[in-house]
Amino acid sequence: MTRLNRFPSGADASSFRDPAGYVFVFDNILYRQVNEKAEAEYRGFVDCGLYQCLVDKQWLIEHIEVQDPRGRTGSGCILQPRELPYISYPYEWSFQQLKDAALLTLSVQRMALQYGYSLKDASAFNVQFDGCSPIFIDTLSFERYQDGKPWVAYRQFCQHFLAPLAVAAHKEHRLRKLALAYIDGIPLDLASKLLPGKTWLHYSLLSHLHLHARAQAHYADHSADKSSKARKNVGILPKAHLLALLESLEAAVRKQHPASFDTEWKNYYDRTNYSSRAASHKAELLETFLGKVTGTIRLIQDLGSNNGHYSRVAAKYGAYVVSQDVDANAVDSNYRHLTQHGPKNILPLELDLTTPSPAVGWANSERMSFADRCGADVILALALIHHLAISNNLPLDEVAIFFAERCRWLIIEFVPKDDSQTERLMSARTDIFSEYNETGFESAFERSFRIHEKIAIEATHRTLYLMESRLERQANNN
Amino acid sequence: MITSHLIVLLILLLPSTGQAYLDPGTGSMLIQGVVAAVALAAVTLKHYWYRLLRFFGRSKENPEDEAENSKQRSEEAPD
Repeated sequence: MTRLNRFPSGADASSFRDPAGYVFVFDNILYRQVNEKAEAEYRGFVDCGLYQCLVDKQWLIEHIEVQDPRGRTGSGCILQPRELPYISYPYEWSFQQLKDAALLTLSVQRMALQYGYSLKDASAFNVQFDGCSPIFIDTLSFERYQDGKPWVAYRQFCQHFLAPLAVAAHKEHRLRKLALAYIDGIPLDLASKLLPGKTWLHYSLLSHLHLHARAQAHYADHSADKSSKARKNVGILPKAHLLALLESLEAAVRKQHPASFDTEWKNYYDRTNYSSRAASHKAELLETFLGKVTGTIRLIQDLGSNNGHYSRVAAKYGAYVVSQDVDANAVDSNYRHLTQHGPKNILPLELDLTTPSPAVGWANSERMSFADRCGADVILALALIHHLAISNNLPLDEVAIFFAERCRWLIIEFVPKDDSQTERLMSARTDIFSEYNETGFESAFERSFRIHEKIAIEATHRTLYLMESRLERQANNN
Repeated sequence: MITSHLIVLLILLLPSTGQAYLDPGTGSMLIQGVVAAVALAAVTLKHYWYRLLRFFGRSKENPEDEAENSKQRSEEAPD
């Protein structure tokens, strides 16, 4: 994986905040520089056994120590972490994924305290998903615990995890997208305003969000001198109190449950026009096509996965599958299914392909856009094209170019106008889609792809295509 | 416990002033001391409450202790 967004210094644009080190890419390999002044802290973290304990539990990404590939000597040390096949961000996770990432952060902090260390930050961006398992990726987030010191990352934890979960659970699930507007977490005063009045009666939300926001606002207006005096009055937070705080945060997180929400796809498979015969034929064709793909398949991106049924079919080929859908409920259900039944090599994510995640943060570089990250050996676009072309009025050749620049192989399902799902999309619209037919579709895609095979899906009016891109890869994965 | 509730009440009554951003960390540091104290008091009280119930034969075990024990068991178990 190469990362596109870098500072002129060569450091990855997402890792400038922590003076302890930074991430950089050299020859397409990801490294983490541990700066000289942070090396002793890092050595202590490894030598005390905490690193190995976290790695053994698969809570922390493992790394090896290597020579500086840039040939620099005498400044800290260089780590080469195991690279994950696909980078995702908290605003793309489902409710349960964010909740699991929060619980992982608390578990890591509790374990760190057992070894005399503490997390110095609790950003949700410190967690990634390795398939459907959350994993902590910031090896330099650990600092020696000073007895009696309050948890410096408490505010950040509340902003990054508890606030979005509570707002989604008690107000509206779509408000989790606020994380995109506030990359350092939802400001607590905003969360407090958004939450309904009844949450003042929930002790955990009252204390960690509402009162926390009040306390912040109260001291925000103090002069630096007064604030400094107030900090002195904070006094010590004994370890037993800190552990009780973590217990309380864990209980608060566990109590958040997604509000029941009706979504477009909630009962998709109940009211789809698919018969079981059509569904099984489509799965068979998908397997046949995947078997015909030449070259190694390391990454498959399923860009309209619904509840992940066909992602699981594709995952049989051993590749890592990123299973993305616009529907929050479908993604949550996909994630829950995978965590219970596997396989573990599928990463479910929310994606609105018509408005995908933009690049955000400093210089629009800290967090990459979807278009920069999208890229795979095979892209699956099943039951998707009618949503792009009809619901979103996208010209077919533009869709073809976008896909062709991001994959070697495309398995795409054409859903014609006489399909009941397309009829539903067009029922209240004037038909302005004269090119939307099999011939128009093929002629638009043939400019960017070589069509290898097309087979009609039994018991439907749909056709499944296997195509190979004619264009050069633009994306940065693999 | 009563003292802790009084502290919470006092913070609740703090005027919610302005939008200025000077030192948002101070409020977080102060509130966590209060919240942690209340959390610890609650855990302690619950512990004694369940011990009392057990003494009178009304309940077998504090469900949280039970959860904690099972968590420890699972953590001790080889992966």
